[in-house]
Amino acid sequence: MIEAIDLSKRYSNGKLALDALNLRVAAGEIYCLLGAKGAGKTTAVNLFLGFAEPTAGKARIAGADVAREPLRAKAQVAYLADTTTFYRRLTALQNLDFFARLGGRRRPSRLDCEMALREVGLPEPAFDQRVSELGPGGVRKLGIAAALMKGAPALLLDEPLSGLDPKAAAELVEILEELRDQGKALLITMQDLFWARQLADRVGILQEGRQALTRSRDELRYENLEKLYLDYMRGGLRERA
Amino acid sequence: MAERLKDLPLPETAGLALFWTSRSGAASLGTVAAILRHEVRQLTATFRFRALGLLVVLLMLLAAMTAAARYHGQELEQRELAADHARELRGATVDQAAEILQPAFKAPWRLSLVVDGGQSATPDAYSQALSPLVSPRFFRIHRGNERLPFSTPIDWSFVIRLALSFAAFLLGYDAVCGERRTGTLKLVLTYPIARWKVFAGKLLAIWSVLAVPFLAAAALSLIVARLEGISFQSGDLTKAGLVALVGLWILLLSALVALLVSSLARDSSTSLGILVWLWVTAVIVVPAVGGLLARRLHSIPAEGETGREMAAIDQRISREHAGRDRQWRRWQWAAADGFAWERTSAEAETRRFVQKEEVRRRVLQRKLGQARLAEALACLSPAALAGDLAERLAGTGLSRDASFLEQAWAFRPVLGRWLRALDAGDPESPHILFFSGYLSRKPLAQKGPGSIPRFAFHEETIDQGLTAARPILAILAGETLALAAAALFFFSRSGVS
Repeated sequence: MIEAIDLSKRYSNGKLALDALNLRVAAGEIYCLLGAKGAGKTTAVNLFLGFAEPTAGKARIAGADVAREPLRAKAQVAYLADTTTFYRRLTALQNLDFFARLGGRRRPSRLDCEMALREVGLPEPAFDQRVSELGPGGVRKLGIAAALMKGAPALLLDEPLSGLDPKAAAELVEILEELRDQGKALLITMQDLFWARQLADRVGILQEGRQALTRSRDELRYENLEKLYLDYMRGGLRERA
Repeated sequence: MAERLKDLPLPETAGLALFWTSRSGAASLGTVAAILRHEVRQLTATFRFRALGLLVVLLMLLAAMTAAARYHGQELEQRELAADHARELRGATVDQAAEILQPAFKAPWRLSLVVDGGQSATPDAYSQALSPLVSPRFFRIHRGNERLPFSTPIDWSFVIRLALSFAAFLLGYDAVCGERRTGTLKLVLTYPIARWKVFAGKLLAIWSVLAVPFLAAAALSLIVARLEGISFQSGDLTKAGLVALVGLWILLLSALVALLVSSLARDSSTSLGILVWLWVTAVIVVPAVGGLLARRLHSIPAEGETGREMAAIDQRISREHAGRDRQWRRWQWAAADGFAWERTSAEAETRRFVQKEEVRRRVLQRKLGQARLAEALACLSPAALAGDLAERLAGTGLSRDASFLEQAWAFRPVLGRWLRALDAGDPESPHILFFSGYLSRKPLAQKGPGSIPRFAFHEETIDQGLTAARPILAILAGETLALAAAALFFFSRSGVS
């Protein structure tokens, strides 16, 4: 569903932000891409969203080459980031209505929007609250609701748990797991190893743009993810995925 | 939750449906309409929109009320001057009429609330006597109180050039860079929509939220002006409608500039700073520099210079007539030799008048030329271009002033034919045209055939205005297309974070 084939990106200043990334996230799977700041996680997400042109390789969403068919690819993917905010002056429902229309719904009913917000666990009084009055957890839930309304089979989440308190993070993780159970493919970038271990079916570690390793959930039962990650951060281990 | 989520109907763009929705015109319009609706909702919720909308409405109502006051004042003054003139002519003889100044009035400008074009300050009367011994007067009957602050009239054109462009800048300065900062632009662009649709939605939103109060205020100001007693004539409302279209056009242009700058700027404050600088340059600096350059490049002769030229004409004519150019005798003495000296003097005075009149007209034409050059130089600014376009479409400004002068000058032969005909009917007159003392002494006919001709000022027609506006329309269309292309290009290439 989400596929990177030797995906590389070198910026105009010569910096190699991503070096031959290869990954494949199947339907009903969560792939967590770990890495420190500047490791290339956000670059990878931007390449999947068509916000940057790959220097080499391909990014595909549901079979659509992002560089060649950006609109077709975008129709198949929903996006959420820690920095994603909605229109602060509008209410949660108004925001959802707008993004549902952008997603192709001609006239989304209030009932549809309310249902989506209910599904992600946003309390009903918050439906008609301005986004500026919602906390980070509420905004993140709104983002998931917007993704649901879009009906995309793939989800890209860039640091979705960043800045959330443990309760809000746990609620969001629960929602993400349910989305996986529905058959969605989720590519999540994060730095939080605890939640990565909890969530991921597969984990990949990026180090300075290079894909240092990938591990499946089964493999991680016998390995210590924290230790692996720290080793990579120290530059000790060099293993190609 | 999962079960219920599955019940949510899929959007039309999902799966194969994308193929046709992304290509169908209806779907394109639907997306643009969704973005437009959303942007309008966002903009109308802001304080700046409410403040700017109110400002536009108040300014246009003020334009209607002050224009009506100016109209009435001018009408009253012209009526009084015409009554004075009628009193002067009452009981006058043909002979006396030759020296009476015959006023030609530029009619009070009914569309002063729409675009004044300097009509509240420029001369509105041209008084000329048929006698070459009397110099014509070109003047403003009453200027009002020049000492009042901000005595420049407020009209729709003022609102279009200053307020609408500024309002569009204030509403659009953070349309792109603001959303880039908050991250909403990135989120929007993760949806399967072409960037031009986002651009079009934003552009139409800025345009429409200001177009609505502008058009409403325009209609309201026309109603107020009508209630205040300005009697619009056929074609006036069409001209007002054309100026309103100029307003909508400038609004579009300003919104394009705002989006262009917002796409290029790194942050909202930079964008606002650049737009304010552009506004000041377009509205104040360029027209001012245009005026200064026109003064330098197309100078008007000083009064002393003109005086010297007039004196040279006097001397030349005297020389040519060997000093016998100002010999006027009493009727009975002159009649003895058939007014021979007087006819020579009349010929000299007439030549003198014609040559001096040529100098006077040349100075006036030069003044108009200077103003035209200033206007042309100021047209580097779209705001000045809009003002010029509005003036041409409404038939005011320089073209109205020039037209008035032409019509007033053309009135002189009409007066001449009238007095010549009256004088020709009197066998006792020596027929020395048009010298008082040597014409018919019969009283003027006040009514019926031979009665005094009246000057009637003819306004420009709509067709004439459209023809005059063609070059400006072409320039403005070119600027709009170039700006639209640049704004769309930079918006499409602008980063999302």
